[in-house]
Amino acid sequence: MTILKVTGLTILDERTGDTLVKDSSFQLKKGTCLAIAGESGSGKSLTCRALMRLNQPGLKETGTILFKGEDISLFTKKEMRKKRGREIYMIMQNGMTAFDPSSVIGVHLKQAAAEHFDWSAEETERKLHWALESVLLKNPGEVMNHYPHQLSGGMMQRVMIALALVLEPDLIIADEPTTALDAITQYEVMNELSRLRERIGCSMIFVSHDLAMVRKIADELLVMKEGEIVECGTVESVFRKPKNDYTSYLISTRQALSDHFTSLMGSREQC
Amino acid sequence: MLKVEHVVKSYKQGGLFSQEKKQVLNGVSFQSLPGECLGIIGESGSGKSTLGRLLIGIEKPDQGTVLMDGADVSKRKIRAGKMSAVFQDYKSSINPFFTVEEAIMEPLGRNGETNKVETLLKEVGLPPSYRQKYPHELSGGEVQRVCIARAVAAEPRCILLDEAISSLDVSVQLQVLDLLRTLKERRRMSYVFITHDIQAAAYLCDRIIFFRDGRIEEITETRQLKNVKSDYAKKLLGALVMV
Amino acid sequence: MTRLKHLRNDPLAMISIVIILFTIICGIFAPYIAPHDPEEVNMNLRYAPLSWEYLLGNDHLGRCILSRIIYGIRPSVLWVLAALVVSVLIGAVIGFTAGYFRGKADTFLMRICDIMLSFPGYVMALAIIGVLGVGLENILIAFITIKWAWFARIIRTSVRQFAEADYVRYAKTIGKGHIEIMVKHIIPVTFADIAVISSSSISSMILQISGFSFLGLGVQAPTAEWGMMLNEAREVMFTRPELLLAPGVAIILVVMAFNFFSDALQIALDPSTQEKKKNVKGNYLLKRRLNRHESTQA
Repeated sequence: MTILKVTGLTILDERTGDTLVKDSSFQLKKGTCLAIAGESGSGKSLTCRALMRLNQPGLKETGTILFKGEDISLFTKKEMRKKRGREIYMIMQNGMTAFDPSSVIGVHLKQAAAEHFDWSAEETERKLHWALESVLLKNPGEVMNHYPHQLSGGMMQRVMIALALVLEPDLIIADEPTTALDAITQYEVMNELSRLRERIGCSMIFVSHDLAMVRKIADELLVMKEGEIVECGTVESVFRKPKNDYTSYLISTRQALSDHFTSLMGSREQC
Repeated sequence: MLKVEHVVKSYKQGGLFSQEKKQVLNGVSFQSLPGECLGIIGESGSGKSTLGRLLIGIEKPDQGTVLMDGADVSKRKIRAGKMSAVFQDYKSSINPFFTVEEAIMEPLGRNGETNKVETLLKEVGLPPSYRQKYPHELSGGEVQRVCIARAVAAEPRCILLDEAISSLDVSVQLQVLDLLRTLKERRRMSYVFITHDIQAAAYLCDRIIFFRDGRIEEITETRQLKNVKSDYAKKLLGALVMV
Repeated sequence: MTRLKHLRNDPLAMISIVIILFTIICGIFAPYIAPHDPEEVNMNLRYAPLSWEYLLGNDHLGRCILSRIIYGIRPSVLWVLAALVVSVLIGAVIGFTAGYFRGKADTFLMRICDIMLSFPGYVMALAIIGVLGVGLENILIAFITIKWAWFARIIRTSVRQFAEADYVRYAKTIGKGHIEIMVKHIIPVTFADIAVISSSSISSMILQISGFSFLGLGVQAPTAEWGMMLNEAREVMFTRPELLLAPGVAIILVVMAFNFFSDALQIALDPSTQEKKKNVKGNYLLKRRLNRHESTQA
């Protein structure tokens, strides 16, 4: 069953007349993870924000986006707001800027839960505690009493993932969720993301410029360059046999870094 | 060459009358050799950026010394012409009012020759037409290239690379790393490469320092990376091998 | 300076510059330009309408309004400008020191600014006039005393933002001196902010000087001053509303010219806004923040 179907999505900058995303079409089956890879400026974030209808007014979008068979451009603003979070959830690159800096984390989480469910205060509290604990944040009560700037980038992303656990959305859009993090924290957050998928069985769109991350989590891969989709297919087939030169360039650069590293580390067994 | 001896640094926390201090560096000592690339790996909050600021002499340690060929780097006459740096944030690493040419000329001073700019641009793989461009017209990778050209312009002995590739796309990271490698061989400079990315450090560096909570956990030759002894270094490397 | 050429492509900026220069020249050469003596009373011409001899008519004492407007430029615009320049300079020196060096210097200077800012502006000005006596020069001294701390605080914030930028760190690394870094790297980027706050406070200063004249504390009666002319016209507001027009329009024109000029200057100076002039919005926000600041002060 297809949860999301995008046909001929084109995004134009009305002021300059530039085409930022050109005639892109793809679909997402229920329960799978689609990765969108590409360098900065390739239009991957714009595509994501178009799915949430969050792009700035100066950008003109054409084409259809069907979410569960319904055209999202036909929803009213109120319906769309109801869908965001409950049905389509977004994890951003910098969690810190996603929250209002003047109130503590707990307030945001409770608000988000209250927006979509009619739980009692205790039930909300209990569910949030459970969710925060299950993303390996010790002492959830304390975390909820912190302000966004007091948490590290990795912790913020865990909080975002915990909230997804509570809201149980059908589709999660993760826009460069690990780019702003340390190498070590990156891997931990990636693990949490894949566990999240297993637990609530949601579909996911994972945006990254790092193909190593993509390979770890995604089933299908879409490569964008200058606003156009240049390659698409299952992750394994793309990695094994890229059709496009640009894709093979991206893969080879990533490979060069990790190959050097594995060659350094690889001889461990022999020692 | 660069010699760091028992460096301690702490910052005041809280308001005007607060006496509370946070210790950021805790007795750090190491030495970098001429022509060597030394990697410093640590997580955010480990104090590696503070260490970077001390190495280029723009802050002074509370205790201990940072010496360059035996002289204190916090004196600006000492480091002029010998030290240089490339930083992380490509959006703010060139004065927005400077053209590429002005930026590269900055370390050369008034009697620098403008035709040197062209040679330098060529060396970092940019066309000479970039001379008159402003930083906002360049992509992240191009800005970092200009920064590298600027850093090597005065032929320094040591360059600090403070997360110099972390904000770039992976594909561009590799290009910049390769560029740094060739420049090092050609010019016989030494690098201090501060990063959180072990793979990048392993790609470029000769020796690697594992840094945590203001202390050095372990110093190892990159060739000996697989034989690290400390738990922390093992954990870091282990996380990567999993992928 | 090549960047200033971009101003030429902006018609609004050119009009503003022409108005500002014209006003300043008129003020300086007032005795040669004004058709009459601004203080010459002629009761026969009381409230006389516009005529060829008196282009803007005459006021309640039969004085030539045009001449009074031209002479009024001196206290209303020129002296205000001078006071502004002095207080911006003091503010800049202190703001740059505090924002660039930080640490103890910053804490010390900012506490002094806080103390200065904790006095309500008008009360402070009244106190200074009370001590020094009534008169234009004392009002200007009062202005400088009130305003410098405000400028210092804003300039310091702006400097702080750039003093941590990577290109400043780089310049420090290669051993450039503090003065050179400030001149080459910090003044150009903060100049736009300084220009905007200066131009938006010149309007409030013009109005304030009129306010003090109205209270009888500033410019003394026979001398021409725009605020005072407004005040004199206020008494006959309902019978002769046209008398309000000349000084009112003069104030509006000059204030607007300064505002548009500073906007255009900011856009022209910033290389990244030359092709896409998006920063206008940011500028607007900064101004709003400043205006709010100012209104809480008053």
